[in-house]
Amino acid sequence: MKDKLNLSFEVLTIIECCKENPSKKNLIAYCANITNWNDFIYNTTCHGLLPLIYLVLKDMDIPLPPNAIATLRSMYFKIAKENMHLSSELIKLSNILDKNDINYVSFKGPVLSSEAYGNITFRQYSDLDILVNKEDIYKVSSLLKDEYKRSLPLTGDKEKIWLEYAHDIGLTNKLGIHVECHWSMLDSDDPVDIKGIDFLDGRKKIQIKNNDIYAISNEKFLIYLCIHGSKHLYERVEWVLDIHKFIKTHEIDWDEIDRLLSKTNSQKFFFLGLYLAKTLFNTEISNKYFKEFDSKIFEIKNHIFAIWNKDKEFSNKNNIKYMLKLFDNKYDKLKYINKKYFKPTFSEYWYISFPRQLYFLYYPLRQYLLIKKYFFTKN
Amino acid sequence: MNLNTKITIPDTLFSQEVDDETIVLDTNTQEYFNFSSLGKVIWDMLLEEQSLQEIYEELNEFMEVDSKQIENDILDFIKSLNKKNLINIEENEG
Repeated sequence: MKDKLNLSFEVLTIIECCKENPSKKNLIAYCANITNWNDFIYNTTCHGLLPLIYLVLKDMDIPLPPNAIATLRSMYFKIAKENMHLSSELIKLSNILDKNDINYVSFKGPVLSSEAYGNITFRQYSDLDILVNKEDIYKVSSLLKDEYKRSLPLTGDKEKIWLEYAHDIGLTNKLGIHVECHWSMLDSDDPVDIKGIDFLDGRKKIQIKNNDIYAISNEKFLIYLCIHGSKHLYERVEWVLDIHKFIKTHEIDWDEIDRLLSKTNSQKFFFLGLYLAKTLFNTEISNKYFKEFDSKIFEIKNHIFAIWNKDKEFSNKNNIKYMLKLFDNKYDKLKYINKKYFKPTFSEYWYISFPRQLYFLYYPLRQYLLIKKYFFTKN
Repeated sequence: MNLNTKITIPDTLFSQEVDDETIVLDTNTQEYFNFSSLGKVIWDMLLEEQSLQEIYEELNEFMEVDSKQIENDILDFIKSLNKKNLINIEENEG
């Protein structure tokens, strides 16, 4: 069964819990219609929102099946402990980077949870993301070498290709903490072009447990949140809530947003994020953006809701039609198709090593691997 | 140890309120400690840099329990923290 948003009771429960003032009456009605609580709890983790769901259902004293609240509580404590571990590690890393004059920002993870949700435990995250200048990547890796190793050690040509096309290196310590050390927010050949925005410029200081951490400026980070969520077609409700909560808790210079967006080809990616936040959480946004919510965005929203309802599977095959609607010009659409289906990715370079003069063979290899993946691999 | 003992909390601890408990992570050993009810109240007051005497006076004002019992509860809790290396103790003139 679904409501006027055409969402299932499971998804409606999740969304209601994320609202500023959840309605007890609605929650009781939605929860009474949830048939499989194990599935529901699993879905709250998939949407990255178990902590909030638990806290709201508990605080509002919503009648739940026996064990449901105990399971949610135990999972919330596990997440909280992991988040504390990640946050304490971020403080340590920030001190090291600061002492060594590395220009860095931390984004997502503890910074977003603390800034937008007011608590490092209210949001799910599993790693740390930092952005530095590309020329500092090896310096960072060397500064952390006593504790962190490269997650994917590469040598020779593979390392060169990685540095040319990828946008981060992974570092992992012996306790399993994973740090993604980015030198840009997207791959250099990504059809979403945000190269005109310098995310390190204008960085701001925030505090976690009285420790200074550098974060991306409000306007640039809001653009990033929308682009990141849209690129993943908001597979998680959490990514919409991030946008809502970030706008709610931060002063946004909307003229600066327009100036920055004009340097990208990603306006629709940004509008989709605002539209979903407005639709689900009634986020306060400037009226000027309403005219940007056209029929294409409505169609994309319906597709996203169908995936949340599990009426459709989240897959490249199902998503491509809707992703293409987010690009305004044909060149960007072709670039997207090329990147998605034709251009060799690191998987091909990893699969087999050709000498440089035979690199053209990676193109047919990509086709071979895609056909194998889509037609000969059982799910 | 008495109510004049000076207590400080090491910088290596990461303390976080989680639901109705306080969880403390010792970043040196990666061990977690959970405090609830009275332990949570005392720990949170220590975090606010209140002295044991101040904690005692505040609890004595609000709790309907014998004063000596409150003092014993505070000192027992402090001893348990000390055993876990969760505090630094500086003996005072008292």
